[in-house]
Amino acid sequence: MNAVDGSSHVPQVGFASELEQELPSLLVLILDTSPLGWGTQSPPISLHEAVASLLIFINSHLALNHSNEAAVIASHTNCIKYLYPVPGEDYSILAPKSTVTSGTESSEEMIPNGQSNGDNGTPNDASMYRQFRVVNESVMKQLELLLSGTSTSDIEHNGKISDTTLISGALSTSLAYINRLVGGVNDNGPKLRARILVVSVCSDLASQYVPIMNCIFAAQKMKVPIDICKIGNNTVFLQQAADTTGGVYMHLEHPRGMIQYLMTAFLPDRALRKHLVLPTQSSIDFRAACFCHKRIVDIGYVCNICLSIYCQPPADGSCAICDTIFDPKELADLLKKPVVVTTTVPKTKTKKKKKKDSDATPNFTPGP
Amino acid sequence: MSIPRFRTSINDYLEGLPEPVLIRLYYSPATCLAIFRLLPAMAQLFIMTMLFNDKPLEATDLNGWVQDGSTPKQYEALEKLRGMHLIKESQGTISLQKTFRAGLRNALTGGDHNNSFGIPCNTEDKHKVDIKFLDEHANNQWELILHFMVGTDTGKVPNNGVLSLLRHSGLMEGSAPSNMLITNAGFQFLLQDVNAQIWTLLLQYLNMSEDLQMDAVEVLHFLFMLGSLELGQDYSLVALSPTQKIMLDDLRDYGIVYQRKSSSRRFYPTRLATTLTSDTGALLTASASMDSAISQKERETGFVILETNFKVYAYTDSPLQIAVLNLFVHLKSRFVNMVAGQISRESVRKALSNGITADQIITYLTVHAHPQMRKSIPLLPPTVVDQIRLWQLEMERMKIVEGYLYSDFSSKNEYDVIAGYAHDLGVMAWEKPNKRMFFVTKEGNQQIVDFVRRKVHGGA
Amino acid sequence: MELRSTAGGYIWEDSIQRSWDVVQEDAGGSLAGVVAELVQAGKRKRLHYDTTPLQRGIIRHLILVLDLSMSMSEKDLRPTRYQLSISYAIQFVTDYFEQNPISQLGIIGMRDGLANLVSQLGGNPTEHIGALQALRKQEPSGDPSLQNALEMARGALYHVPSHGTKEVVIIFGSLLSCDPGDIHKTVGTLKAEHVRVRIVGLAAEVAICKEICRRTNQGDSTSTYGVILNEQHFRELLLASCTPPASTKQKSSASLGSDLMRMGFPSRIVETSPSFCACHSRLIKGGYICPRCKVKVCSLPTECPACGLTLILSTHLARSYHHLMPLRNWDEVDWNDAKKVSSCFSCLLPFPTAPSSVPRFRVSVSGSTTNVTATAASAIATGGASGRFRCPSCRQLFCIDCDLFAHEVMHNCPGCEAAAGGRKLSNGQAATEVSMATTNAYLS
Repeated sequence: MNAVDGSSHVPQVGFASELEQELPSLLVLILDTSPLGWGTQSPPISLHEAVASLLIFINSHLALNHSNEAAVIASHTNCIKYLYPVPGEDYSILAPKSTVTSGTESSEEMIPNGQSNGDNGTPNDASMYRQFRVVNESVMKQLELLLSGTSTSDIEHNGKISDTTLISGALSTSLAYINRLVGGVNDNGPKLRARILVVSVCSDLASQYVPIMNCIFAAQKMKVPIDICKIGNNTVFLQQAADTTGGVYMHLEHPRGMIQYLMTAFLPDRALRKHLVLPTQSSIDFRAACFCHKRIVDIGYVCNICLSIYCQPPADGSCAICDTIFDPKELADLLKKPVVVTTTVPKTKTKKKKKKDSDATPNFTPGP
Repeated sequence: MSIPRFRTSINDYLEGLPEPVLIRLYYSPATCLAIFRLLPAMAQLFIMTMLFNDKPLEATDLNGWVQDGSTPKQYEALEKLRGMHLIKESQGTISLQKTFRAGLRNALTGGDHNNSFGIPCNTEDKHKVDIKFLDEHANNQWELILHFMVGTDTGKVPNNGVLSLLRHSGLMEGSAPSNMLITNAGFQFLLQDVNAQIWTLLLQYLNMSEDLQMDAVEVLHFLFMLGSLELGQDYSLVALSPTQKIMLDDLRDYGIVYQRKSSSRRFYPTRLATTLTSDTGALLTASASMDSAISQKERETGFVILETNFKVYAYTDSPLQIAVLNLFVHLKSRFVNMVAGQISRESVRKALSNGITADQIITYLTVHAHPQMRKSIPLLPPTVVDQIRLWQLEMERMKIVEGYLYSDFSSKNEYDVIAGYAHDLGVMAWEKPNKRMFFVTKEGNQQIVDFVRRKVHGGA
Repeated sequence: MELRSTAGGYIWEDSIQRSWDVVQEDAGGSLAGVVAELVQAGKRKRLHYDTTPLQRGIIRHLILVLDLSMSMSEKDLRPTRYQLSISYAIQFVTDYFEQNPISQLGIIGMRDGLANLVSQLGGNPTEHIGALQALRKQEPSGDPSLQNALEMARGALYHVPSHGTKEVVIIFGSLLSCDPGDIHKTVGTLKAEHVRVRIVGLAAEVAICKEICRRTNQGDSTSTYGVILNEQHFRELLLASCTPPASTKQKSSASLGSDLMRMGFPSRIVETSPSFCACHSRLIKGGYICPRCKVKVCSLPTECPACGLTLILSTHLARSYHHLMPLRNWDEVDWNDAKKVSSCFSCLLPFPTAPSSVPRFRVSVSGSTTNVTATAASAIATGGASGRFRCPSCRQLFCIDCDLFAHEVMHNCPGCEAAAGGRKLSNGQAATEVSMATTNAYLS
C-alpha cells in the first residue's frame, strides 16, 4: 500500500541526507489517562507506576543527545492537556529566586484553579539534571491537576462511565506541535526529527475513525513514525497507525516490566532503527469503521461516489454522506440477499457470516 | 609525518585512562550522563537495554537484535564500551559496570542527593548578567586567544595561564609573549571548529593538570558538570573542591565561565561551557548555535566561494579568517569586505607541509561555504576536492599501518573463517588469499586472537 | 486568464501599480512589522478554502496529455518548457495518487501531429513516473494534434465504468493544432461521453482550447482553462487537477450507476514459511486474507480470486475522506476577543501580545502575481491581525501555522477532536451525525 505514498518520492537533498543521522530528535508522548482504561487492567499496573516508568524513559530520551526534546500530552476522557510543556511557562528561567512568580493570563485561563507558575520543587536540588527535573516536575504536577480536576460528571456519559479517550485529539495536537517545531512538510532541512509514542489503554473508538485516519496520513506525509505501546486490548486503528507510518506496535504482555519494553523497543530513534531488528506486528488488522453505526467491520458496503463505508445498506436507499440515491434495483438485491458471486460460497447474511468468520480457522493455502 | 597528533576528542582521552580512574569518575551521576552522551548511538542503546535489566545480557541476543548489515556498527559500539570499561563480559554474557550503572540510574531517576549537577545560587545577584552578555564575553575571550595565535595586533595579550597552556600544548613556541610564534600544530588547531578547539585546549589542560598534581578525576568532574549547567544561570562555589576553584580561574581566561571578580561567590557558565558535552554528532545544532554566537557577523556561517578554476573569494573582513585562509590559499587581492585568491599546488603543499591535511582543508571549505554555494550539489567543485586530495597523495606515497601479519593457515577453510571475521570487524588492512596471508590493524588484533583461540578450543 | 481588471478595462490599461508604494513605514520607521504582515497576508490568502461539502467523484480516471511539439523547446520556462512540464507532470502523478489512491491515470504525448501513448491507464505511480523519466531524453518535435490526442484519450476512457469520472488534463504549449478532421465533432462525442477536459496553456489563450473546456464542462471554462503567468502559477494550475472534481447534477441521479459496492477489508498476515497466493499461484511469505473465504492474495486492491469480493485496504478509502468532510474555515479573531488566551491551543506558540493602541501601519496588498483576496487585506487594514484564528465549532484559538497545517495537511481540528466525544464535532462529522440520526429514526 505504500506504493501510493507520495511522501516517499520526495528527493533527498544531498547535504541534508548526509547529516541525517546526526539530527536530534523530538519525542511526543501521548499518555492515555482514561480512568476506566487504567482501572480495568487485568495484569494490574497503576497509572502512577506507568508514569514513573515513562518519566525515566523520557529522561533517557533526553539523555541520548544534548539537543533532544520531549513533549507530553495527556489524552483524557473529556479533554486533552499538555503535561509538558505548559503554555505560558518559561522554562528557560531557572529556579525562581524569590516568591514573585508572574502567572500569565493564559495559565489562568487554561488551568482553572490559578496555580502558581514556577517550579516549586526544591530550588537547590542539584542531584538531577535540570532538563530532566523540569520535565518530570511539570508532568507530575499537571497530571495531578488533571486528575484532581476530573469529576464524576466529566467521565460519565449517559449514566455509565465513559470509556472514551481523545486519542484523535491528542494526535492532532501533537502533529500540530511537531509541525511547528520541525518546520513544515516541505522544508528540506528540518532541525529535528520527530516521532510520537502513544501509550494506550483503551480499546478502539470507532467514532474517531476518520480523524485518526487523517492524522495517520498527515504523520505519514511528515515522516513522523507513530509508535504504539499498548496495554490491554489490541486496537485496530492504532495498529494501522503504526504500520502506515513505520512505527513500532507493541502489546505489553507484562505491563509491570514496562520500563524494559520502553528502553529496548521504543528508545532508538529513526536513524538507529535502520540497524536494528525491531519487533514487528505478526499480523495487521485492516478493518475499518462503518459510518452509520460506528461498528468495526471486515466486509462493508461502500458508496461508489464518496467511498463512505456502511455495515448494512442504508434503509432509505441514499448515501448519508453524499446524498446519492442508490440504484433501487441493486439496493434491493443487496438488502434481500447477498449477491451470489460463486457457487462455492454459501449464501449467508452478512451478520451470520461475520460470526462464522470469527471462529473459523484461517486456511489460506489453496490446493494445488 | 612527525607532527604530534592531538588526542582531539575527549573520547580518546577517556579511553586512555586506566580502569580505576574511570571507575572513580563514574561515581558522579553528572559525569556518567556526560560520558553516556559521548557514546555512539548503538552503544547508548546497549547501555539502556542493560540499565534496568538485572540479568546479564546474552551476547548472542545482541547479534539477533542487530540487522545483519550493521554488524560493524555493533562491534564498534561494543569495542567502545570495552574501551571505557563500561561493560563486563563473562561466559558469553554482558553486564554493565556496577558503579556506572548506579551512577546513570541516579542521573535518570534523580535517585540520591549528590549535587553533581551544580548548585544554583539561591540569592539574587546584584550584578546580574544576561545571555547576550555571556555570549559576548565568551566570544571576546576566545577570539583574543585565536587572534593572538595568528599574530593579529589587537593590543591585548592573553593571561599567563593561557600563554603557558599554548606553549605547553605545542601550539605556539617562544618564551615571551612578544616572540611567541604559531607552530604547525597551531595551524591544524585553527582549522578545527570551535568545539573541537575548546576540547583540544581542555585536553591539554588536563595533561598539564596532571603535571601540576591536580587530580584528573576532579578536573573531569568539573568539566562534565559545566556541560550540564544552564546558560544564564548563576551557580554557587560552595560545593567546589579547592582544585576546582583553581580551575575556575583558568577557565575564566578561556571564556568558558564568567565571574565578575575572582572573589565572587558565584559564576556563570557561558555557551562554550554548556555546549561542551554535546557530543560531536549533536554538534550540528550545537555548533551552529555556537558559530552564530561566536561570529555574529557571519550568522550564515559561510562566506567562502570556491570556483572550479580554483579561485577563492571570501567575503570577510575578519583578520582571523583571512589569516586562516592564508594557510592554504594564495591570496591575491584584498578589498574592504572581500579577499580573493587562488588555490595552487604550492599553496596547498605549503599547508600540507605545515601538517594540515587535505581533509581539514576540505572540511574547512565545506563548513564555511557561502550560502550561494550550498545550492549546488555537491557543495564543493569535485575537481578541486579531488585535486587537493591528489596533492596530498603526492606527498604520501606510503602509508604506515601498525599491525600483525597472519600466515601459515592450515586450510583454506580456516583462512576464510578468520579473514571473514576480520572483515566483519573492519580491521583488515591487507590480504592475499592465494598465499593465505592477511594483515590486521593493531587495534583489532586482540579480537582476532580471541576469535582464533575460541575457534581452536571449540574445534579441539 | 482573467484579463479584465477591477476597473473594467484591460489590465494593461490600468495605471501602474508599484508594489513598493503599498508598504509604508510604521511609527518607528521600521519595515519589520509591515513585512511580517505581508508574510501573514500571503499565508492568509491560501486560507480561503471551499468548504461546501460537495459530492465529488472519488474514483477517477484521468488522462494526462503532454504537448511534445517544437513549441515546447522554448526557453521561457527554465530550463525549457519541455523539461519543466515533465518535472511538474511527475509531481502531478505523485500528488494525484496520494490524494486519489484508488484512481487510475494514463499519459499521452502529442508530437509530429500524432498522439503517442506514454503510459497505459493504470494505478501504479512508479510506472508513470518511469515513463515520464524516459521522455526526458527525447527531443520535442513537430506540431501537436489536439484532435488525435483527444480521440486517443476517449478510446482509453471508453470502457470506464459509469461510477468513475472520465477526465483529460492537457498541458498545451503551442498556439495551433494540426488536426486530421473536424475537432468540433470530437468535442461533441467527448461531451456525450461525459469526458471532462481541463487545459493548462503555456503560451497564450487559444480559442479552440477555451471552446473544448467550455463545452465539456457545462459551459464553465474559467476554472478549467488557465494560461500560466509563471512557473509557480503553472504548478498551481496543474496541481489543482489533483482534487477530485465535483460531481455535476446529472451524475448524481440513480440511473447513472450510483450504487453500493460490497468490499472486504482484509487483514495482513506474516508467515514463517511461504505459501501459495491464490491470485498468481506464487510462493510468498505473508499476504492478505480475504475476510469472506479466507483465501490468500498477495497484493491489494484486487478482486478475491475465489469469491469475487472486492478487496481493498481501508486506508486507501480513508485517504479521500477529507474531500467529503472538509474542515470549516477558521475565523480571524480581532484584538477585542483576543486578549484572554496567550498561546495557540495546539502548538503552544505564544501569540503576539495586544498592542497598546491600534496598529498604525496600513497595508494593502495587490499587484502581485497571485492576488491577495480583498478580505485578507482588509482584515489586516482594520487592525484585525491578532494572529489568532478561531474554529467556529470548538471556539479554540490557533496560530496561523496551525491553521494552514490543519486545513492543508491534517484536515482535523485539534480543538474539536479534543472536546469530549459527540458534543462538539467538526462540521463534516456533524453532518454525518445528523444524517445518521435521521437514518436511525427511519429504521425505528
